Amino acid sequence: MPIKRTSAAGNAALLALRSMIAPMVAVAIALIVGGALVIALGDNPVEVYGTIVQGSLVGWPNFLVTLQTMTPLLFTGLAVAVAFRAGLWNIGAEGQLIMGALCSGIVGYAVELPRFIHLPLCLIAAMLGGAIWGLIPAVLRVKFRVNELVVCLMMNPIALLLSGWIAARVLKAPGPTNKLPDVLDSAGLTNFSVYSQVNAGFVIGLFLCILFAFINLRTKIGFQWRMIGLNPRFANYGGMQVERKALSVFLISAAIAGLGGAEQVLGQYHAFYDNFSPGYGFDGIAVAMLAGNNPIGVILAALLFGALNSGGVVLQMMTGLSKYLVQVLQFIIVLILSARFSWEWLKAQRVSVVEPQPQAEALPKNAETQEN
Amino acid sequence: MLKSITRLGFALALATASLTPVHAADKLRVAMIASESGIGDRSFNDMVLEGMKRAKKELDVDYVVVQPRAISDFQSALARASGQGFDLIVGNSFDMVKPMDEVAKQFPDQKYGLIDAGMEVPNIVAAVAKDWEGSFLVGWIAAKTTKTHKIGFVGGKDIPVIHRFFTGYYYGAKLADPKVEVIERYSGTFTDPAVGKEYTLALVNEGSDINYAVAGATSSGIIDGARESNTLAIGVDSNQNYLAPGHVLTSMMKRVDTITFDMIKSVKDGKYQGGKTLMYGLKEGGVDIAMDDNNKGLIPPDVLKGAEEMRAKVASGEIVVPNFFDLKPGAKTMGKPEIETPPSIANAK
Repeated sequence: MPIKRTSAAGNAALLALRSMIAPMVAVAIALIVGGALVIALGDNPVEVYGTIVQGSLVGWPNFLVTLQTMTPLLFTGLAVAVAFRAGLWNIGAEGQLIMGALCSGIVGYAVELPRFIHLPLCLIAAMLGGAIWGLIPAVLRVKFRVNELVVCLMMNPIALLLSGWIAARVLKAPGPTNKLPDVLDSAGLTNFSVYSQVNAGFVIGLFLCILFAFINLRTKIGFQWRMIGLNPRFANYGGMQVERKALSVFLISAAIAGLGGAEQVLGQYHAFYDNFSPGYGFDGIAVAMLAGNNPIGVILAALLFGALNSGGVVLQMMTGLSKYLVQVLQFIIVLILSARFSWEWLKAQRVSVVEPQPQAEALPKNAETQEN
Repeated sequence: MLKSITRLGFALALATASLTPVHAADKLRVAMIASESGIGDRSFNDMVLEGMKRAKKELDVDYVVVQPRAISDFQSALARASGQGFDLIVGNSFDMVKPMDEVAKQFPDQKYGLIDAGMEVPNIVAAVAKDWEGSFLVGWIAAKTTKTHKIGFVGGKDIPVIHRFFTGYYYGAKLADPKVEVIERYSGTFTDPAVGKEYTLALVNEGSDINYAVAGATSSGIIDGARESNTLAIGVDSNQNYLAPGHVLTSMMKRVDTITFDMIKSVKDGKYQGGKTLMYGLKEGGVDIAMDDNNKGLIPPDVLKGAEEMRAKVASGEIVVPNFFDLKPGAKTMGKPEIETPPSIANAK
C-alpha cells in the first residue's frame, strides 16, 4: 500500500501495518517452536521449512495444489470474518458449509437444465442451504438473546449427522461409499489440471474476498456492520436498526460458508460425500483470526494455511516426517492469536466496568471510537 | 512487507532445491498414500503400515507415508507422488479408485497398487481381502457355539463396507443353523469404546451371548462388555483375542499387511501383476480366524472341525459367500447354497 503524505491516508497505512504485526509475530513464534520440534526430532529445520515452501509454491503442480487447499478456507474464513467484524460469533461455518454442500449436491444431480441456468441454481441452492442453517442461531440470538456460540456449536454435529443420514439412506448412490449421485456435467465447476482439484470456485472465493473488502471500506453498510460490532448500544442510539442489521450479517456470513460447500461438491468431489470436510469451517475461524477479520487478510491467511497443507504432503514424501508437524504449526498460530484475543477482550471488559452503564449511552462519540 | 516475504520464500526454495535428499539408487522406494482416517486408526492404515515395515526389514526397501486430509486430496497426493520416482505407490481406499484411474493414465510408467477395491488398469495391481469369507467363518462358528440361539453384530457405522462384514456373518450363521437369530446393530462411531460397551450390554439383555465387533476402536469396548457380562465377543481385523482372554471367541483377521508385503515383493522380484485384481480369501490366506492360548477351549472341538470343512468348501467353490457389493438392490436370495436375504441387506442401496 503506497503511503501518501496526507494525514488520513498515512494513518490508514500505519493502521494496516500495525494490524499486520500481531499475525506476523504469531507466525514467527510458531515457526520458531516448530523449528525446535524439528531439531528435537533430529531433522534440519531449514531443510524442513524449505521443503514446505518448495512443496507449496515452487512448480506448477505444487502451486495448483496450494490453490486447491486454500479455496475452502477463502469461503469459511471470509464467512467467519464478516460475522466477527459485526460482533457475531458465527462458529457454525462447518455446519453451514455442509448444508450448502448438501443442497448444491442435490440440485446438481436431481434437475436437468442447461449449464448457464443449472450452475447458478446450484450456487444459489448452496447459499440458501447455508443461510437457512444460519437462520436458527441468528434468530435465537437477535430475538431472544440466546448465545449464538452455543447454538452454532450444536448445529454443527446436527448438520453432519443429518447429511450423513441422507447420504447413507435417503438419496444414496449405489456403491461402497456413502455419497449422493454424481452431479451432472452442466453443474460442474471445471478442473484445470490432473495435479489438482482447483477449479473456478477459487476465482469465486477470491472475488468475494475483494468484494467484501470494498464493502467494508467504501460503503455505508460496511461501516454500519462495523458499528454494530464495536458497540451495538451506541449504534442503536445513532438510529441504526441493529437487530435487522445483525440478522442480515449473520445470514450473509452463513450463505458464504454454504457457497464454500458448493465449491467442494461441484468442483472437487463432483458429488456430495458424507463427512467430506476435515474441518474447513473450524479452520475458517483460525483464518479469520489471523486475518484480523480483514477480507484481504483472509486471502493471505488462507494462502498460508493452504500452503502449509499442500507443502506438508510433499514434506511427508521427501522426509518421511508426519503430517502432524504442519498441524502443530497451525495450532500454535491459533493459540498465540487467541491468547492475544482474550487479552483484548479482558481489556475491553475492564473498560466497561469502569464506566457505569447508564452513562455509556451519553458518552461523546470519540470516547467510543478510541477503544479500537 | 509481503513482497519481502515472498522473496524470502523463493530464496529458501532455491536453497532447498539443492538440498533435496539423495536416495540410494539400488534401494526400492515405496510410497503409501493413506486413506483419510490416517495412521493410528488401529485398522486398515495401520495394517498396511505393518506390511511396509515388514518389507523394509525383510526386503530392504525404503518407504514413506503420505496422509491426505480429505478424499478430495487423494488425486493431488497420488499425482505429486508420481513425479518423485517411487518404484511403487500404494493406496488403500475404495475412494481412491477414481483418482488413481485418472493419475495412472497420466503416468503410464509409474507402478501403482490399490488395496480393498478391484481395478483393471495396466499399471495398477489391485488386491481385495475377502473379509466377507472370514466373517462367514466366524458367523458359522458363532451360530454353532451359541447357547441362547441368538448372536449379535455391532458395526461401527451403517455403511456399505460394514454391511459386507454383516452379510458374510449372517450367511455363515444361517448356514450353520437356520433358526439362529442374528441381531444387527450400528454404534455410529469407530472411536468410542464406551459406546461399544453400552451396545454389547444391550445386546446381552436381548439374549445374545456372542457378539461380533466390527467397529475399529469401539471394538475394545465391545470386548470389554463381553468380559463384564460374561459372554463372548469376536474380534476383527487383527488378532484381538488377548484383549480379554477367555471372552473373545476368536478374531477375524484381515491380512492387509500380507497383501501389502506381497505387492512390494512382486515389484522387487520383477513379478509385478499390473492390470490384475488379486483376491485374498480363505483359500489364499488373506483372511483367517485367530487361534491361540487366549481362546483355547472356547470353540468346541467338533465345531472347529466343522469350520475346517467349511473353509475347504469355500476354497473349492462349493460354497460361495455373498459379497454385499455384488448384491443387487432388493435381491431376494444370496450366496450358494442360496438363502433368503435379510431385509436390512435387501433394502440397502
